[in-house]
Amino acid sequence: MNIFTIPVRNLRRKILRTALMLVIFTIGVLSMVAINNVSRVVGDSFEKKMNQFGANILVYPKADTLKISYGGFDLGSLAYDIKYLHESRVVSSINNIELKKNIGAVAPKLVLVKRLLGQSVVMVGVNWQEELKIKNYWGIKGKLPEKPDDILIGSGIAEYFKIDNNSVVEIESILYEVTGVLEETGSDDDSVIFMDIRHLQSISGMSDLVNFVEVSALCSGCPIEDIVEQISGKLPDTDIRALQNVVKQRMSAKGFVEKLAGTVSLVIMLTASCMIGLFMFTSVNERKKEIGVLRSMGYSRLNVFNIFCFEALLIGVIAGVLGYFSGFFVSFKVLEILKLGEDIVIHFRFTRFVTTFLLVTLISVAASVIPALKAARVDPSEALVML
Amino acid sequence: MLVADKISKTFHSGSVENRILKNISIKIDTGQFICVVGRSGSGKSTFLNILSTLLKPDKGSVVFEGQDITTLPENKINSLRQRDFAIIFQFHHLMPYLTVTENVLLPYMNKLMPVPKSVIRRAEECIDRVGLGARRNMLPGRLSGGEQQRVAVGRALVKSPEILFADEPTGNLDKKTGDEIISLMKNLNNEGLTIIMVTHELSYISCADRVVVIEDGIIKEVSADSCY
Ligand SMILES: Nc1ncnc2c1ncn2[C@@H]1O[C@H](COP(=O)(O)OP(=O)(O)OP(=O)(O)O)[C@@H](O)[C@H]1O
Ligand SMILES: [Mg+2]
Repeated sequence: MNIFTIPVRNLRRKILRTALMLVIFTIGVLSMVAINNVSRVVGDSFEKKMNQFGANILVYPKADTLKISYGGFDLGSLAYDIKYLHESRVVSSINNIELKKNIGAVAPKLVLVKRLLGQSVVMVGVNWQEELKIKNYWGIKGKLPEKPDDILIGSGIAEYFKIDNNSVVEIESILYEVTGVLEETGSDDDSVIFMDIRHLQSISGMSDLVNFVEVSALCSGCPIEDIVEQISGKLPDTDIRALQNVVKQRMSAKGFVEKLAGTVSLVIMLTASCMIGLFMFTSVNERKKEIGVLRSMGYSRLNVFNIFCFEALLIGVIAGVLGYFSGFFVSFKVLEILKLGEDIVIHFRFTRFVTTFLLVTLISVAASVIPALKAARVDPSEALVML
Repeated sequence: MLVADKISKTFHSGSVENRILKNISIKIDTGQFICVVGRSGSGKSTFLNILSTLLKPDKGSVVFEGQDITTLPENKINSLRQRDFAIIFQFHHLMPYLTVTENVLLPYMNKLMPVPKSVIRRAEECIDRVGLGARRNMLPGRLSGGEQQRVAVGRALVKSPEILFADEPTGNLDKKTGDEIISLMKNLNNEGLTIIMVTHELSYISCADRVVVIEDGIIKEVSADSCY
């Protein structure tokens, strides 16, 4: 028996009121936790999906000559000494940086000019698997090449040369089967021919050489500058360019989701704490006589304040724990319904639990400070005289 | 010894001034049983509350053990209420969620430290003293009105106070139960406890050593017999 016996017993006796307060606050915490968990996962998966719309880092050979381009018109092919990167070294270096878990795709490219039906055409050698990760938006009429001598052609090429699916074309005395035609993309991809990079390297005598490598990095939790820095640390002889606008766009989408979640949970917690405050106010008014008696037998104002604050603290503690864990459960259910949860796990982090717990407890106590102050100010003679 | 010297109290309700006590002085010796009587609204409760620190007078002093308790700082007043003064009201004002024992221990439950065993034992003695030994673990809601008021007396006794203030302790009880409470108080007084009691029930003043009447803001001391 000590000063906490009073609030604990009071909560137990008014079990309905206590339960209602707990339910309100638990629901508040639950929605806060669930909204934040879900938004984090949705944001991540959002980012992953956005990453499929192109790369955000380009790795080039270091150019020690002036860049030969003007007004977006690239004269790179006019340069005499075109430099190449070694595919195996570059790819494995990128895949081994410290932040390798943030690397989504590493797509090497070899670009060569070949002749088709008397015309120059651009041939792009790609690693199909990696390429498709960053070109998720590609629509293909027909199917993807499977054999080394299968090719995929851009819509512009198909139109210009009047070739289509299943046509067989001869490029520098090798016969290729067109297995698919790209739907118009509005990009450079429309006017090139894609083929397996290994095959292009071997027929051109350029084994392991690539012109550049496109990288798709997931930027949640780290700035893209860090990734760029780590890649250039591993590959000092390359030029690395981050496509900042692409990154910013992705992060702002993710940021929006997170901001929305933050605002909604703030409003929910504010409402819940107002309810707790209201409950405490009525409790103080109901118990004025009780307070008067306590004061008349020597309880200090601080004692009375503590009794009411401890009541709120208890509610906060219980609702914090209940709300946090049920919030986890609800997030799983929501993600299951949204079908976003397959490859994503929400980790239980002790520090996050403790922060949430402390925050919730603090809010609950803060909501009761004013009613508790009111309780502490109750004048015993007035409280006891009024009948 | 409790000495009130020229205490005055005026209540203001709106623009109306209501002078309740006008320069009242009284000297109460240790071990006395004082009855305070008077019409309803004459200021008996006001007077008692001023003596027991619950209310501050506008003017005048109340001296207890050499200190003017009307000017004491808050913490001193709290310890006075905790150790030396005990107050019983017309209504028992028990905490409905605490058992009889816990209610009696209430004056000691304002600390983080659990109530010591020795105090619990004394509380049990007090409960036996007011005749509720068998009801120790019951909640007040299950007790009769007289029993509830006896718990309140027990709660007042547990700290072995210097002075017991009682504001119409029988006001809410029937005659027979009221008589039991009064005879309990008389027994305590016989053991040396100073008691100041406000009452409407004139038959109880025969227990008192002194009877004071409050009328028109002043007190008159009368002999107990003259009340009949
Ligand atoms: N806090 C207050 N504010 C204003 N007026 C008050 C206050 N307390 C008491 N009074 C007034 O002072 C007068 C005396 O009140 P008090 O309670 O002392 O009377 P009483 O003699 O105890 O009456 P009763 O026998 O009915 O208990 C009453 O008229 C009451 O209305
Ligand atoms: Mg009164």
